[in-house]
Amino acid sequence: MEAEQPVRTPYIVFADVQVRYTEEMQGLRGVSLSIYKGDFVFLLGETGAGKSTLLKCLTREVRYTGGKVLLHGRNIDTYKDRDIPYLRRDMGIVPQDSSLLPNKNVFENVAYAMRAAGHTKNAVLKKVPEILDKCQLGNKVKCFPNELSGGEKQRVAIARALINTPPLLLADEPTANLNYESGIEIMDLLKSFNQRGMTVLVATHDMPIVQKMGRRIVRLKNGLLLSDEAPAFAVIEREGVAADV
Amino acid sequence: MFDRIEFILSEAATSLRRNPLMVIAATVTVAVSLILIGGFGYIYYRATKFAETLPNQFEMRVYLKDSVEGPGLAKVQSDLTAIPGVGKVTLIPKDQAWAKMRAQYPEIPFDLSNPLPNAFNVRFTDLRSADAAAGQIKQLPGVDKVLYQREILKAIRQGIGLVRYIGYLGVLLFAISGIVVYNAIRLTVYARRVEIRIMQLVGATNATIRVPFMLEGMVQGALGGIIASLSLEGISAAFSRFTNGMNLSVPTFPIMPILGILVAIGIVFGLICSGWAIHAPLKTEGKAI
Repeated sequence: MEAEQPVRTPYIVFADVQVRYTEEMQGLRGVSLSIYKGDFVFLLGETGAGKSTLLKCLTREVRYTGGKVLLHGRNIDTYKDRDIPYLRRDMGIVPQDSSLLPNKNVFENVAYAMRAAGHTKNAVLKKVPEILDKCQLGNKVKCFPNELSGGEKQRVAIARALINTPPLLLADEPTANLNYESGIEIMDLLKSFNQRGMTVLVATHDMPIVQKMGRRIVRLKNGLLLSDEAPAFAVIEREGVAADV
Repeated sequence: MFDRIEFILSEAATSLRRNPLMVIAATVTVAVSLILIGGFGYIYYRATKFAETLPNQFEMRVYLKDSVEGPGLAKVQSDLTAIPGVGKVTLIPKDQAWAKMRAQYPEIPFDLSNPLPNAFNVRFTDLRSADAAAGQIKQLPGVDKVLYQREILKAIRQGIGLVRYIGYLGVLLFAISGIVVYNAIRLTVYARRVEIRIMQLVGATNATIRVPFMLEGMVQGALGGIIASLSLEGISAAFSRFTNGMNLSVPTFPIMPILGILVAIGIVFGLICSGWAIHAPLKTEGKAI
């Protein structure tokens, strides 16, 4: 007799999510999607498809006007404004164009995220060098953003997003303006954290890199979900991670 | 707790140290505004103080007919007091006036009888009504002559008018400095919008973002206050040197009180402006309808 599979509860649920910016302009037109713990999902689509908006619904940078978004079973809409910083501390966010604090060096950029989350100076001094080493930035600690290459800036943004070891990483176009090799490096870095159990959502329009990674692909166009493809090997890998976690 | 305070203070200090151009721009803006407001405020204050003494320097002498004596004097006095703009009315009895004159001019023959009439000395609360009041006084029964120096009255009126114009100019400069500060704030917001968004995305609370910004604003305001005070002292010293050869008494510039006042205003100014600048970008979410 075959053993009954336990029912897995989705970690993130987008249920008929709509975002209307103006009467004419809609960011999302009813997107439904479930994401499980440990998933690595690419949100693929052209500019204006709704990828960033979907991520911003999760971070509450944008408030959806229809449907609902659940994170760990809780409707994002129920968070009060004053609780948004605490919601965001449970996710690592890599914004578009990496966006680093211009007047802080690499160490300080990453440390800020820890200090802002209430960690002590001693904890910062211990943990920041570790994450910078993991992101191959150990020799760039004192560099300012204007002294870094595009790929290095992205790695700093990823290190900053990961410093508080969040269970969820949201990356908006992390390979934009990077060449193919640098893009693959960034994705390998994200993959390594995903393999340790972190859920990763990446918004991108970089098709060659997405194909190379062979992960679940959610296609969006004009605010609508076109397709949701999960390559078989990725699913198997996910099941393995889920079992480890 | 101390770790948190150290973090907030070091954030403000680092930002001040690493944004020198923005600090200079903000400090100069505050200093210029405070020089305009503080300088004209001080000039207005001095001019008003001076103007307050002017009505007391102007007197009108009202001579009565010889027939007015005893109760008639009290009646004229009450009539004078009832005229709009009239302040203090003092009786100068003819005997007293004659005794004073004799004391002043001993050469007056002893046997000369008192030729002076009873009179009233009239001071005004509002010099603008002096001419009209003189006309009314002349019409009063018992009044013989009204004497006053029209030229002095004109000069005093011009002085008071000048104070009023200084006030208008101060209001205009206040509005101009408001526009300058508003533009500086807009530039600050524009320059730091991305920075604030990043801070929000890493989970910084509004207080964590806001407090260092406001501390920065306070420091810039205080620096602006110091620069404004020293500049005003310099202007005052230059003015004193300029007026040295003239017969004008220019009061000493009270640097310490002015420094205290302008630094305090600068701090409040910096606090309000930085709080205002950061208010809009601190909204946690984008606009969707």
